[in-house]
Amino acid sequence: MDYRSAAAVIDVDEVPEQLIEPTPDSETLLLERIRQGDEAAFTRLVSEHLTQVVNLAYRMLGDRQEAEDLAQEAFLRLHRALPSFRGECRIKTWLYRVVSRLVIDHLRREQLRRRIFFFRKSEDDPDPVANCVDPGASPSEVLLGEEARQKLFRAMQKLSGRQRAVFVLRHQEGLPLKEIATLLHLKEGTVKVHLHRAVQFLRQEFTDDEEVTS
Amino acid sequence: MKRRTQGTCNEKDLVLFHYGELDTVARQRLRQHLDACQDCSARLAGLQRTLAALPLPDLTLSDVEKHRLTAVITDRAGQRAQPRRWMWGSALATGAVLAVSLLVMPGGPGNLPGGLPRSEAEIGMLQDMELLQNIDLLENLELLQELERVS
Repeated sequence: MDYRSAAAVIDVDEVPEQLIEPTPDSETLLLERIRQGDEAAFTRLVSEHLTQVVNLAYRMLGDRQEAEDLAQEAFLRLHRALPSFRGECRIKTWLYRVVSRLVIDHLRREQLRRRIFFFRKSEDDPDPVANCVDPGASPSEVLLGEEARQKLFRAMQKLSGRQRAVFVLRHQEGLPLKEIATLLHLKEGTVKVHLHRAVQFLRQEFTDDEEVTS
Repeated sequence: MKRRTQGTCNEKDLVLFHYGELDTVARQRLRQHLDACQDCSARLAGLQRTLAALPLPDLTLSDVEKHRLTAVITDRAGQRAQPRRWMWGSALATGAVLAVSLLVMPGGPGNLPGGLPRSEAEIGMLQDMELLQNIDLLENLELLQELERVS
C-alpha cells in the first residue's frame, strides 16, 4: 500500500489501518535476486523507491542536496543490510526508518556544528535546484507557492529533529502514529507529544502571519 | 503560546482528533463535546484550516536525474563491496611481510629494541658485551693513572 495514497488526515471515525503489510511476493523475489548478485535487480529497487525516499528527506531537511545525499546513504545501508534482511517489514518501511534516523542524526550534528563554530546557514537563500515549476501554474502562483514552502522550511528549522520527523511522517506522509513510534523507536505517547508541539508551533507561526496580513 | 483549554477539550486532543489518532472512547467523548461547544468547534475548524493551508513540499525527479542518482548509488554500492576484499588482501600481505622481516632480522624478533633476550646464548653474548665495556673502562682508568704518574 502506498503511504501517500493514505490521506494525511483520515476520517476521525475510521480506525487507522495497520500499514505494515506482509512482504509482497514480487518484493521477495527482487530481494532474492539482489542477494544472488543481480545488480540490475538492485538498480530496479533503487529506481522504484528513489523519488519517495528523496522526497521524505527533502521534506524533513528543506535542502535538496542534503536530501539526495541522505537518500544515497539509506540505499547503501540497505544494500549492506540485504544479506541479513529477513523481510519482516516492507523495504519502503525499512527505508523510511533509516531515512528518518539519518535525518535526525544529521540535524543533531548540524546543530552541534553551528553551536561550536557559530555557523549559521543562510535561511533566506532559496534552493534554486529545488524549484520545480509547475507548468500549469501562473508566475504569481509559483511565487506564492515558493514563498509558502520557504516559510514552512524556516519554521520547521526551529523544531527539533524528532518533532520535524514526526510531523512530516504524520502530516505529509500520512503514517499512523503507532507506526511512526515503531519507526523512530519511541513510545506512542512521546510521538503524540512531538506531533502536538510541532503543530502548535507551526500553527502559531502561520496564524500570526495570517493575522498580520489581514 | 499556551492555548486555552476548556473542559475535556484541550489542544492536544484536538490535534489528535484531527489526525484520527484518539481512541474510540476519547473520540466519541470529544465529538459530543464539540457538538455542544461552539468555541471548541471553532478552534478545531481554525486548526484544520491552518493545517490544510500548509504547503506540501514536493520534489519531482526527472528521468535523467533519477537515472543519474540511481547510477551513483549502484556504483557506490559496488565500490563498498569490493574494498573489503581489497582490505583483507592488503592486511594479509602486510602481516606476511611483517612476519618475514622479523624472522630475517639479525638476532631474530627477540632483538627488537626493548625486547628481552630469551636463550642462554643470547644472555651470554650480552654478558660478553658488558665485560668488553668494563675492560674498556679499566683500560681508560689505567691510562688516566699513567698520565697522573707522568705529570
